[in-house]
Amino acid sequence: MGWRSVVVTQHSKISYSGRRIIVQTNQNINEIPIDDIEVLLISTTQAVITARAVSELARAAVKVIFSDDTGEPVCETVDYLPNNRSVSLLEQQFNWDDVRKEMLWTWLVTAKIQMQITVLQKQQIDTSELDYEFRKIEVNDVSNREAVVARKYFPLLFETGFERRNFQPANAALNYGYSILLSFINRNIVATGCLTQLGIHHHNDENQFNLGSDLMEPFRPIIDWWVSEQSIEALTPEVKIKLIDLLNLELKFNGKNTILKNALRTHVNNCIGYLNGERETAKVEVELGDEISDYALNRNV
Amino acid sequence: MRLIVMFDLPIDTSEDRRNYRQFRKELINEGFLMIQYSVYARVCVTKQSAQFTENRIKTFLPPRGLIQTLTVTEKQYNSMHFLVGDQKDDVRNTSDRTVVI
Repeated sequence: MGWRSVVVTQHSKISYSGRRIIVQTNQNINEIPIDDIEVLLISTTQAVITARAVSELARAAVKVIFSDDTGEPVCETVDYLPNNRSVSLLEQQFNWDDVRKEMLWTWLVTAKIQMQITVLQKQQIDTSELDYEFRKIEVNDVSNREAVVARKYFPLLFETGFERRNFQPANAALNYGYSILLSFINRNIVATGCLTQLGIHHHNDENQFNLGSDLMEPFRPIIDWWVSEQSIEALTPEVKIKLIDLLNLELKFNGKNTILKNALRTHVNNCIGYLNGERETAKVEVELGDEISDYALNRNV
Repeated sequence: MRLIVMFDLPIDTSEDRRNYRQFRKELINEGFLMIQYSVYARVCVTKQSAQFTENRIKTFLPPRGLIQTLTVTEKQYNSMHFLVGDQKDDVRNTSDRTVVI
């Protein structure tokens, strides 16, 4: 199982040889054991990758993410993984119990709003408006408190007048962070053999990753938190790399000290186990440290 | 955590040399980095994965010679002194979770 995120930022050729991925740049040749890689992010359009490398990466269950000419992630590989995607498993997913879906969505939304409140508290912002909405939450969030809270939360966390739908650099950073988070969740969903298209709440024909969009909700505020702590003037490579490094943030998940990417893996397994009826709950309890400093980013094994 | 493999293999006959070449190539394919002649190291995330890697090495051992392994923690490995020469500058010689190329 991989543990390393590899980010390719420059003109290079990516190929495969002897169970290693070879990244050849103008200056030197980097060889990385394929079993170590968890995500390969190609954040440039100046790179070529061989078909052999793509197929071997898929076989090793590595997520490969490609970016457009602005460095924004635009697509990712989704492997077939024939050894774990069986008809019975898919039938199980299509027949997920509605009550369980509704319960899980309630927990996810609750956890998300709780996280949003925590993030605001960390920035010493008054959360009484959010607390008020939070108390009104119902099963399956029928009154859509999630959207109501989000509309109040972003202007509070950033400056007034902040909108998610414009082209501010902070928004670009948020989108970048979310897409990294989403692709990571997708990777774990695919690893369990489920389809990413079939969500529990998100139901968008154009979204290939409805299930991923559902399950990632409680973790989005971590990205918001980091972005709100920086003064981002442009989406520079440094900002992007920090956002990727955020996957290594140390936190407490369901009472255990871990790093974000391992928490995400546990979270996805819990949720899918719950939907499949293999476990009775899928609790989401995230406790964050005091600040996101370089110290809090667990850089080493 | 690092798994270090040190070996001395006979090169008397052409068969010996062939066995040596094969062993060395397999080690590199397992993700090992040559930190100096006949001394190879690899990052392992946990003790179990170090054990797993060692078990894999056991499947392609040459028939004769001397091969030793040693597992050290990241801290111990990084406190290595370089009396002459410098550390290998290679991705495989770091344990950073995010690598930027």
